[in-house]
Amino acid sequence: MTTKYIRSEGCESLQVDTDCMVLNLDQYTVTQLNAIGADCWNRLTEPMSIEELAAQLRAEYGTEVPSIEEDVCAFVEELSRYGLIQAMEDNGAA
Amino acid sequence: MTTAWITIGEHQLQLRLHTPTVCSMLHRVFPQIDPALRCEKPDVLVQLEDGYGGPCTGYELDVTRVEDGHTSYRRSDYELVVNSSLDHATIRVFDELALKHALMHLYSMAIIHTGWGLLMHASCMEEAGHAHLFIGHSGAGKSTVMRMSLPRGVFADEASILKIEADRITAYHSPFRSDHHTPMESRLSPTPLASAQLLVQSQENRRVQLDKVSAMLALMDKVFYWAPAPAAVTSIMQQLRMLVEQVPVYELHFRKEPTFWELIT
Repeated sequence: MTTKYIRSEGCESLQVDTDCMVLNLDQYTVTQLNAIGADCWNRLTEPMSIEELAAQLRAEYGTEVPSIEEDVCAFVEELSRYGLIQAMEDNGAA
Repeated sequence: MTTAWITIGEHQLQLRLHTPTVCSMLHRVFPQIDPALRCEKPDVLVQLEDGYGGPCTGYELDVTRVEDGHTSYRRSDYELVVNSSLDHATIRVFDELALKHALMHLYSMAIIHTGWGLLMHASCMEEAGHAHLFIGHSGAGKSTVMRMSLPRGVFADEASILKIEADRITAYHSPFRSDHHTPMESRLSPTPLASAQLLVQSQENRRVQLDKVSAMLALMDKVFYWAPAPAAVTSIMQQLRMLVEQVPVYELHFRKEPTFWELIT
């Protein structure tokens, strides 16, 4: 079963220049994302697996980055730790 | 019971004063509006009473939801009960310090709720038709900078009022003072904000501009707010973004002498 990820409820985001600031309104935290991180965040309005997100980034930026899936995995894990995104099973259950 | 009208920023507050003690407290701190200049309806209607609690023992608040959508904020020296639209409030205080803090609390909530602006931990001075903000927590040097800046005009010595709009940021006279009180005839008119300085006491004068994200992160805990609801946090961040997009924010390393103004003007 593939795990998909989506933004958590209770989060707001603000674009500041090329960066994005994500507010966790339940925990009163602010997380700063750089341009690539902001792009990932913007794509996670719909459930998406790590593989799907990596494929979209590869298509967008046209580069062969061997570690792109690892980088996306690390990004997703970190944002999950901060409560900004949550995992969903493929049947849609969170 | 008597009634008083005061102005804070662009807003008019009507206060119904239930005792002579609270009446004289208010008149010592807040000048009143000429009756000819009063609006038809105040922005906030406040019932004000004394005889509450005891001296301030700390800044932590006890927050509870009470009936009819009202929220109560309690400290050892004041209680503030507000409605959900923040246009009606009851304040009970122990002394003048409590009165000042309770009104700061109410005003800060109201201007954030309406998206009008922010109340900042900052002193603010006028130079050549522009306002300049000096930001920091207690002990950072806000009052020191203010004293070294005299005889420049003073908008605020500890709590600065900023109106934040998409195309301008404006500093207003603040009645929330620590030591430096401005006579009515010397009060400054609303003035465009030209710069914001985060204060760092140092052996040398140096000013370093921050990028916008760093500026926002540095300013977040310099907004006067108590127990913010999620909607208020969003409003604060949106207003800080408008602020940093229009006004350069610097770290100002300064020696305790007025020469730091050479870096600003």
